Amino acid sequence: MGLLAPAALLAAAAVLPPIIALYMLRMRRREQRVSSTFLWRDLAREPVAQTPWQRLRQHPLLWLQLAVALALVFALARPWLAVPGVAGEHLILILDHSASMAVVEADGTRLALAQRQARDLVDQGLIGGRVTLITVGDALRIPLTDSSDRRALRAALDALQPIGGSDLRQALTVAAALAARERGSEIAIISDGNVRLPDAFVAPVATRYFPIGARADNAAIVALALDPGATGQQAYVQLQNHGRQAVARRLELWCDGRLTRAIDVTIDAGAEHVERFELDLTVATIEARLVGDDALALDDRAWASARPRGATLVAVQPGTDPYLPTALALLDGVEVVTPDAAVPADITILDGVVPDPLPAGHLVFIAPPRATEWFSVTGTLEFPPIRTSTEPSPLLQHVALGEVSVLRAVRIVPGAWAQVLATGDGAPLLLAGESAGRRIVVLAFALADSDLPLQIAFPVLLANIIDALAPDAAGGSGAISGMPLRVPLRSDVVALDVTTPDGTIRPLRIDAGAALVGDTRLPGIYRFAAQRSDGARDAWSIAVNPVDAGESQVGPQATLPIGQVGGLGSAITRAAVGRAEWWAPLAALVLLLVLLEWLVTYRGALAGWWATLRDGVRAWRPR
Amino acid sequence: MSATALLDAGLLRLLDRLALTGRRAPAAAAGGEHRSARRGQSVEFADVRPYAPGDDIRHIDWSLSARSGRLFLRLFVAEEERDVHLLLDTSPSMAWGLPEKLGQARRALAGWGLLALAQRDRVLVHTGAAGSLPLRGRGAFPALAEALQRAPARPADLPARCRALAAVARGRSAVVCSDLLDERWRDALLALTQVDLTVVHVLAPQELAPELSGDLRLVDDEGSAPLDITCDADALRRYRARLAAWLDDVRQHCRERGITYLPLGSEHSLERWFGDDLVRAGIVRS
Repeated sequence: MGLLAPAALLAAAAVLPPIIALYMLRMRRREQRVSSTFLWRDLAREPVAQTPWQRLRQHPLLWLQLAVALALVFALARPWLAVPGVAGEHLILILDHSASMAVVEADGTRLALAQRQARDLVDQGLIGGRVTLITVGDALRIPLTDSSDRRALRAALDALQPIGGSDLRQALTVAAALAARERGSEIAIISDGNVRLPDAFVAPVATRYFPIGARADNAAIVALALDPGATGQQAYVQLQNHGRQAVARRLELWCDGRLTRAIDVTIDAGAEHVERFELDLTVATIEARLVGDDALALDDRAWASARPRGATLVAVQPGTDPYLPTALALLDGVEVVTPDAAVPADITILDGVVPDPLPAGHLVFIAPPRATEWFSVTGTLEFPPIRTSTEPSPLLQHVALGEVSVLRAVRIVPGAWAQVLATGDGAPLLLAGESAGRRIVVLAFALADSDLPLQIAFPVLLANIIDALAPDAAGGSGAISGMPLRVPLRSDVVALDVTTPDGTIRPLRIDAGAALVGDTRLPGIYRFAAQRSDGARDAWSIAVNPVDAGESQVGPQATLPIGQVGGLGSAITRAAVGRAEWWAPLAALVLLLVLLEWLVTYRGALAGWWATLRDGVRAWRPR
Repeated sequence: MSATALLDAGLLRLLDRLALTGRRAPAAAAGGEHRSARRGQSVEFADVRPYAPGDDIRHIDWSLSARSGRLFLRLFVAEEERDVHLLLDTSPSMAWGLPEKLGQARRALAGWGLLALAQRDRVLVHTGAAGSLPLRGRGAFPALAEALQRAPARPADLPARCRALAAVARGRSAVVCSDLLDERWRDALLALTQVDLTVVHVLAPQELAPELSGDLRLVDDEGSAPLDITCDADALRRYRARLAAWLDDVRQHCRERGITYLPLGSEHSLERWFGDDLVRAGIVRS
């Protein structure tokens, strides 16, 4: 226990002596002349003396007034008790409302528990009462900044729904910037701990982690795909049991809204299970359902749609490295054309050249000889060792660049649009990103200046690049509910409509070769209908699944590896440093004491009133 | 001092129609309208006794003497005048109240004295002034009124005054008019045990139902120590209980000792008091 304003105790020295003095000072009474004091003597409370002071006597009112004064002074000193919480004057609260927070615990969903924890932190432990709320789920939001409005905080908390992923990188960066700007700040993270954290992050202020949840039993559909084959299609369903015990569930496959297959599967603890279903070519969409109860119901359903018909046109200029067209030819759905073909290519690979003007569509630069509007070329690198980023990227999925040897590369200085996926000697060797609606991949070294074409990573990397840059890259089962869905379009598309899973049809605005579906909170199949400039119509669908595969790992994490300024390697978990003020009970005590004082003061009059009332009732009562 | 200065005309007319009733045979040398146990020179025959030298020969019963051969003297019931002592309490507490208790006490004793004078009783007024000349006959009423009007204020010592009265009024009739607001009131009345005593207890309405409130310091002129009280509903309730108990105590004391107790409010109509209350009590007759 401590006092936030101990100086207030000095008020006791100023208040208590006058109260005692009032009882030692004789009351200055109005003089009343009577015929004789003979009959009044029994009523006198005290003998009369001529001195202004009298001996302090025991009196209930004295003790009550002293108690009131002491309670008030103590309340002014703002006593507090240490509780699990925070101690700063400005609380930066990062609350995870990702899909995994929908897990139902014994006393409510994790989100409800997190909301309760947030309210407790603010109501009980926060001194000063200023809060910044950062929510992480489908998007990063900051609904409350440096505010003491508890009602607004409650409203913001109540509006949260479990949706999206748990990427805390941006939230922590924002929180660190806010905390560094204001003294007395403290960061509190309320989450189940299954989050993505920034690399080498050191929180500038004390960062506390409040883990939520206990359950870990969850079986999930972590992947669902519908791939075309020669004579039909194949549905792949990947299941994973994140729990500590084997589970037996029933897997249903619905094709175009009809139940087609149903099998019982048993998945060992922590194991994966893959099922394949042969389907005919007419199936456009599939849905997998895992029947049964577990911690998280959201990941028990998944959707996928068939890849659109038609090949992706990839332009490669003549004379390029022969490995390139050879590898492209092995990819399904890819047609290699020359840059001067009649139909504009979807993707153009510029190997060692930067034409002026640049072709339309998405671009892949290989060892660009000069700068473009997206990057600068400032020199060359000799024997740069490749180091890949730890950030997960679909381009590097199943790609191991660490064993690739590079003889020479150009030194590239990218713009802000680019995500660096691999570096060498401090310069980017592989980067990707999107700018003004165009997707761009830059490989800083020529294929001939490395042994990459000889590595198994080469065709996989190329396939990943084509998947990432192709117009239907977002098809299949890649979209996640709550995240904005960007739909790349052919350059000749002039109109586009979307039909959401609930049947609502909305026109979409086409901007820079793409359209954006902002509201994807409803998981399921989103059907698109496009009209080209030549009148032709295209139709395809994109599956939006409820959760990211990472959200299915629902087992709560006890600690978060967030570096602290003081040297700690992880966020402090539930340290009892919060200060719960308890002036409110003291105020209630003061009210009670004042009521008692009133009763004591007027006890005589009250007794008289009571007697009068009683006599009145008796007189009124019919005999 | 004229009678009307103290008693208004209505009360004087009423008193002309009233007369005191006596209970004890008074002892007095002068004749009056009250029968006396002493044999005297009235016309009502009482007894005979042998003649003795010096007796008035006009009262010899010649008929009886002729039959018996000895001289006998006729004796008559003596109709003597009665002594009525009037004691006015002039202590400071009597000079209080609205209307003032002392004024009411003066008027009550004046009326009482007038009734006595009208019956040729000898009236002695004890006001605390030096001496108390006996007054006789209705013509002495102005002197009685003046004595009452000029009664000096006296310190509060009712027992001493009663003891002084008892010394001169033993076996006589006395009327004490006081508020008895003295903690030694019992001693005062006990001093008058040998007196045919009537107590006129005068109290002001402000004493019977005080209207005080707040934190007060009560002071009086009787030399008592001031009292600090908080006068709230509870205190007034306790005062009323204390007053009722005290009045009961006084009444019981008087009843047990054959004292006639007559309460009189300072605001009370004396015409009603004499004409109704005292008639009902058998003190006066019309």
